[in-house]
Amino acid sequence: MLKIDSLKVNLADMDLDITARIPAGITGLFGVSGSGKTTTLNCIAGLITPQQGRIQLDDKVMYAEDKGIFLQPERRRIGYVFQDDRLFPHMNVMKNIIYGTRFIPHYGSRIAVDDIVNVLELDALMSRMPSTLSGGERQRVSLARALATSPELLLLDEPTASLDAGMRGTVLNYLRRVWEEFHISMIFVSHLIAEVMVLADSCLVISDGRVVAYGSPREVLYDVQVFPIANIESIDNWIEVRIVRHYLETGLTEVSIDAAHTLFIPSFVAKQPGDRVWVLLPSENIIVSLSEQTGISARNNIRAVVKEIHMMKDSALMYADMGTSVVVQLSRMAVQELDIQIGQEVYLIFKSSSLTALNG
Amino acid sequence: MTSLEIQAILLSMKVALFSTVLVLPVAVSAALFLSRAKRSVRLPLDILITLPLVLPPVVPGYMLLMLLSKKGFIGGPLYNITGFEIIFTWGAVAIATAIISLPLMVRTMEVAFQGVDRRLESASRSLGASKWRTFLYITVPLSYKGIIAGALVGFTRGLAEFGATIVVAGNIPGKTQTISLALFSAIETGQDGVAARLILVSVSLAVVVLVAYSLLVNQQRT
Repeated sequence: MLKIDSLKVNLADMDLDITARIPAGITGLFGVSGSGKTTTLNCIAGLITPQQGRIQLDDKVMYAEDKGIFLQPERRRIGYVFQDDRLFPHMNVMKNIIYGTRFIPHYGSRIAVDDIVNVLELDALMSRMPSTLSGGERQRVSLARALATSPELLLLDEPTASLDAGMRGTVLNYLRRVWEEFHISMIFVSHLIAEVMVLADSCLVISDGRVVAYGSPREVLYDVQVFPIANIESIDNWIEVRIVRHYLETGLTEVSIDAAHTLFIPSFVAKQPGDRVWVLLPSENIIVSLSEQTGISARNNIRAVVKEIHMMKDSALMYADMGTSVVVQLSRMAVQELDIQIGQEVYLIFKSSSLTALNG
Repeated sequence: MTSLEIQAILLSMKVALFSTVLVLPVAVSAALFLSRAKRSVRLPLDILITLPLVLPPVVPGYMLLMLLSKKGFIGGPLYNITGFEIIFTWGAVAIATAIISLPLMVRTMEVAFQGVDRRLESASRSLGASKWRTFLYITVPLSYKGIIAGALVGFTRGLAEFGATIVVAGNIPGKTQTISLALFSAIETGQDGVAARLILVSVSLAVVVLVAYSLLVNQQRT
């Protein structure tokens, strides 16, 4: 448990004032740029000195302004994966990874470097210099370097920001494996709802230097109160599904949300039938129909129940249940003309090509 | 070449080397401080260190003489305790040379330290390295060429030192007479052959060091 009490930092353009209780597990720290996410992480890591407040990890007080306690960053045992990976350019991958291991007390070493290298699949890169690595490789090395010190908490500042969508999925999967294998709690900064959704157990939303929401990602990020605060323009649905069957001749893969709801996505042979996979469905790619359509090219025509409707400034958000909760973005005019009501049964129509399976 | 000329050459090299080694830790610390400190804190130290570069060298020479003589602030107690006076010894030459070389060394190293990404240093701290270890394992390896370049510049300047030296150590052949001082004497007394030989030695030494410096700096660029 990380306890942050009235943590105050005065910045040029904003005053940070954070109070939070962050339990073990993966926590997403969400907010638009300039909301104070990185500053919060830097305070936790001890890279900047706050003006006021208190930070405590389990029973270790790392900062307490009233008692004059400021634990130096090297004594906090907090790993930090920076947005810009910050690999040491004069050391090869191997030396980067073992850099921190010489500083930790022997009793503090819980994770073997070999295991990290295996989990993150870095074997082939060990003798390479950082300048020869791709963005995704650099991020993996950076993650390995932080893990090698067996940190008690891992901070990740938008570790996927510089990566393309495919690589992003790969790194997210590595992060998940890190949690499963090593059980190191993580605080994971992102400005992408999708990432927080896929990775985090809980989610903290910061806006303008204040905590504005806390809870499970699904509760928090689909909350219409949070939605305008976070200034999100479009919201993506991340749906966890199970592969049912590959239709190689038609280039499609059938996946199921539950026994009653199946979807067609573009052929995804990287996974076998029975495997779980996350698929992305952008909220603005969904058509709402009041009746079941036949003679239509779109492969997904799913019955759903309307749960909530929220009128926004320029559009409307409809929350529906199709075996899982999804958000549909549509025009205010459409909501009015179709006279959509809460509890009503509708059909959600979307092309198989509007779905993307998360790689890796 | 006479033995006095050879002694002058050897003394010059000894003094330049000794003063460089003597001032290196000071130069590194000052450069590191200047490259990291806030502007308001930096300015006074910056001015203090740069002064010997812009003042007539006779001025720091005279100040050193005041400080180091038997009646001086440092020289006095030293003389009372040990009976040793540093003025008019090769040690005085080395100290004068060190003061004059310091600004050039600091300037060169400061640029090198500024070139080290501070974000790498904070990454090192987050990986468990103290400030000192971070300096040793990250800052120095990423700036060592600049540190060597600074030392070379200081060494070259040391070979050339004249003004402060003559004030604080005199021009005693075989004792405190460096190449510059011997050359000055040769010109004064019209010994053109001696002057020509010393000029040749001076130019050769400077060229060797400058070539080394240029190789280092060019290598740094690629």
